[in-house]
Amino acid sequence: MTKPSKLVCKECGEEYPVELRTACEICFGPLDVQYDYEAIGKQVTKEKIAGREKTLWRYIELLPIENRNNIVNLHPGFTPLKKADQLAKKLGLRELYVKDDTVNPTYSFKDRPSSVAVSKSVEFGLEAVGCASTGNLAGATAAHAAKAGLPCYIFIPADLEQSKVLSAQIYGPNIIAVEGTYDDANRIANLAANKYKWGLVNINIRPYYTEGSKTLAYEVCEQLGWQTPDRVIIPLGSGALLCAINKGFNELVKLGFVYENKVKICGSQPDGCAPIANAYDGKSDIIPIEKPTSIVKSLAIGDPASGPEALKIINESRGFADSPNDLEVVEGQKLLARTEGIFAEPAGGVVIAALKRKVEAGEIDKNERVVVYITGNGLKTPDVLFGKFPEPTRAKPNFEDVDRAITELKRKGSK
Amino acid sequence: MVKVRFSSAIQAAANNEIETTVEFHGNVEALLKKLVEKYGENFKKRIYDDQGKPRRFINIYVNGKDVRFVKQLNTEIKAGDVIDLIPAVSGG
Ligand SMILES: Cc1ncc(COP(=O)(O)O)c(C=O)c1O
Ligand SMILES: [Zn+2]
Repeated sequence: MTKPSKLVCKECGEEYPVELRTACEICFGPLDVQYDYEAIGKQVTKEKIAGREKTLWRYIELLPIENRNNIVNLHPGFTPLKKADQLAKKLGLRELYVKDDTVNPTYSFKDRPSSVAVSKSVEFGLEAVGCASTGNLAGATAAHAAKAGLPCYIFIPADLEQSKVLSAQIYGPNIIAVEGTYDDANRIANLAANKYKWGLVNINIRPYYTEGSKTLAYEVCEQLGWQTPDRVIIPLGSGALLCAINKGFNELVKLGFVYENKVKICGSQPDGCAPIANAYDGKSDIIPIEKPTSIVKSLAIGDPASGPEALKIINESRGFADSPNDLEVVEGQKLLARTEGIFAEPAGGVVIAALKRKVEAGEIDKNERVVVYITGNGLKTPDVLFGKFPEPTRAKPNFEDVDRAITELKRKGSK
Repeated sequence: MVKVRFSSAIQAAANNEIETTVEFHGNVEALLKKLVEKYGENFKKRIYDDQGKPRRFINIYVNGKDVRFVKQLNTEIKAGDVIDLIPAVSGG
């Protein structure tokens, strides 16, 4: 097996061995895992990959795990890329796909970074794992910890949806609900990681963690017959996901698996927490937001650590950043469900809303091949939809009354 | 007295101390100068960029509040405050 070759500071270029390290020692910048692409290119072929397990571990040479025995495998990834013809027709697009990551083991894309980071924590011999989370990462990390047999410590903002908390609690982690924002939970998790030497996946395991998410680029290209899309739309929280997907496209170019990365990389955040989109609109630096206000709690990161890098990628790729409001988000969730039969969480609504807005504004060419990343399952956040639908039509338990109800529904013009 | 805590790579720059207490009043900018006196040239090189500004990957908190939401480097510090210097890493 080939091994990752080094960590490189994205800011100043300082190099480090592949070790437990949160940030650059010189400038405190984020670290990037790099590989020997020439060696990997000699070993791995598209044909070889095609025959492998249908999980993200099919790209093992491009993931930072050195010994296969350390993999904690809940079978994440290799989720379907669904041609979205109904939605495309509705919007007047020719070729639209949904990368459906709602069907991961814990129902969000966070199983990708979490699987790599927990496996790497096992490889480092750490005694416990955990994370700071806006909700989805909590469940993903707790499930992987359970499978690895490791204690798990999770830091969440106290106002998180009960259903999200519950979907982590079932795996038995220790959860600390910090009475503040996600950024408060994150700051405190950082101090805890430093004191207790745990593997907090998105904090001190972060360089490895983000590697898991780049498989979302590999899979889309592989599923398109090793071609890149023209445009992708990605939900933005910290911006790490968007940066990882862009890295994935670039790596496939390095390996010669795709010809070039001309993908227009676009991001979307809810307008109640849109520091990256605001900076895009105002052509300014990113100004953090102290108190996010949005129903899209999974994206409520006011101080996005990967924001500057994400913004640069969006600008250089000639993509866009957009920020629909909460009403548009719910409409986006409904539109996706009612055209494609996919129930996304609000983060998916944020993406669909941006797609709709930008098609209507004429900023997306009708002939482009577009992929939207739907990264979380709607069943994890039913709260946002309570009261959004009319009550089911009631009837007595006899056919006459039910028939009356059917006539009533038809009269109201229901399909 | 104020308490200053250092995390991960910043701890490494502060003689590997996880926290320290210093006799001090003034603003954040003055506190950083005080810490440079205590930890020396190496700490100074790590904390400030070429323009003499604190590096953009250092987050500074006074009693848990990010100084960017207060008065940046002019944020006042009083006796008993806790200051955290933490590298900017985060993600959902
Ligand atoms: C469902 C979902 N999509 C997207 C994101 C954004 O990811 P990132 O913080 O890496 O930008 C998150 C979490 O933050 C999430 O939970
Ligand atoms: Zn550096």
